[in-house]
Amino acid sequence: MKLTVEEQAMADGRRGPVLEFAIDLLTKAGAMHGAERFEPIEAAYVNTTFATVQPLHDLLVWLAGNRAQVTVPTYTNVGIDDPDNPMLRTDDYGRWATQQSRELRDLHKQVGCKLAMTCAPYQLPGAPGLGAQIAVSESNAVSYFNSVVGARTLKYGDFIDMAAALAGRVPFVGLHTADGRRATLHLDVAPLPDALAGDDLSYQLIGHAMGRKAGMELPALTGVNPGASPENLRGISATGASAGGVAMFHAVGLIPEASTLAAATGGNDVGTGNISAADILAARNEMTAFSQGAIDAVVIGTPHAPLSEVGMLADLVDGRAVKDGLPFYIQMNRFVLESARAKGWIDVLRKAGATPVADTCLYWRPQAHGLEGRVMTNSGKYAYYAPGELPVTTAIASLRECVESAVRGEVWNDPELDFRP
Amino acid sequence: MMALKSLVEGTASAPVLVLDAPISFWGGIDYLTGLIQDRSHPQNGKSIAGTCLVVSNIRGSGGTPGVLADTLRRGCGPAAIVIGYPDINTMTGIVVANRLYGSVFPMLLATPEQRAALVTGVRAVIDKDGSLALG
Repeated sequence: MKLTVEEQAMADGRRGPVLEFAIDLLTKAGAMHGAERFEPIEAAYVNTTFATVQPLHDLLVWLAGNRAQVTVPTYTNVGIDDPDNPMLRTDDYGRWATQQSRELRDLHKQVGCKLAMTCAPYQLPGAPGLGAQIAVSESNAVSYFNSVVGARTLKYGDFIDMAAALAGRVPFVGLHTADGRRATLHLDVAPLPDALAGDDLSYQLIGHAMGRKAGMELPALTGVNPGASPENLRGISATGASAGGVAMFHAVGLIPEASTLAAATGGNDVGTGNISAADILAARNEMTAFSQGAIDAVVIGTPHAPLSEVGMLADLVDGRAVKDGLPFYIQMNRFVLESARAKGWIDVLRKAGATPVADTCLYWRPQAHGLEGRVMTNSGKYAYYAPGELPVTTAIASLRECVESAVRGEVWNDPELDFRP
Repeated sequence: MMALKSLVEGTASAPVLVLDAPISFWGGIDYLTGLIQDRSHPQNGKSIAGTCLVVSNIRGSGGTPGVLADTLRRGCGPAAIVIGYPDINTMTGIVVANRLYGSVFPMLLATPEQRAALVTGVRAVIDKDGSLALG
């Protein structure tokens, strides 16, 4: 890689051990990807807050001890601790991890990070826009920033995200470049029944099916409901990332970089396929371990719920009551939490027996209170990951189905969403 | 003697373990023991601790570096990795462990032909320049 004078000074250790470490990591990564130079970034989003992995803790202690400071605005992903819900994880492991999480949060503050503690940083005010170069690790945020916002990031990982935040730059390759963002696969989404097409559930299912079909390709989707909101497209980005590792997709006609299919592909000939109604049904079946009988908990907001979803949930539960003793969690970031509180929605949720949760993620161990057995969720990402982490089985459902089931304490299926291709 | 491409400089002398399928550190390796715990892996139950691990690729996620570094910290990780694909997360875990824990753990890129010459149980001696001798 060709280094600037400043980058060479970092590499030679003349800017101290922290930047020497950071640029070494980034240079090795760049060389492995075939990058020729670095590109400055505007912001970074780090995953180094995972409290139960000791080397993350050790690295942050080393950074803080060397008085390291990030050089671009840097936002943290979730931890274990939610200060508003001290009873969330109270067994021995939970208490230990919560304490670790607090220490790790303080260390991130010392190195200059903003304690956003969210997996949905694209919902924060002042988030990067079209064309911004950024470094992001959290898989759903990678795909949302690339696909819906049009900002540019690779899928980074532990430590290298922090190295990018410290050095303020990344190797200029892949999704950071115009060529690297062109679609390599065209998938046409089949028309769905109106009721399903109008529900956020359909986007969770499309994303899951896309993840299963995309492989290593960068898909362009045609046939997506032209009325889809950014919050709906978030369903595709989150589940495409969990089920298939998709770091970017083009929703043709819905996003700035893909006004047409030709714009998405750059005019290149690409492979074609489709997401049929049968694929959508298969996605729902794959994420449905039970379709009747009693449930043990409901989880909303993986990734953290947007304000619009909190509002919809408040409408649905207003004047209702979740079955006594049934945990009903809705996860969101603190900015959304305060906005929802100002609208009176948090009071409505609490009155109905729902528990707002911030700063953490409820598919991670240590297990949160009551998350065992049969868990219903409107999130494809939760349905996909939670059974591997927690003693649960999951069923994906619409937001309304989640609420009606929580009130009854057993699965309620919306007949309008039932379909057979 | 084989000249491999050095991705992370280091030295090692360790018995080769050739994996028949890619592995994920996140969830696939017990980081307390170094045993392969992925039930779908053909070498489930084998230990990677102290080996020169030869693998086509490390599967996985952005969580790879933390878990890999943790196995190296605990002394139950491999002694070297010879890989068929330049995986960034694997490299990162090694660079961080070398920095934090003072190890000199090497990572080498090998062609399929070079990997085919490496047989489980044979001792591999790796030098800083990426050369690998069998002995």
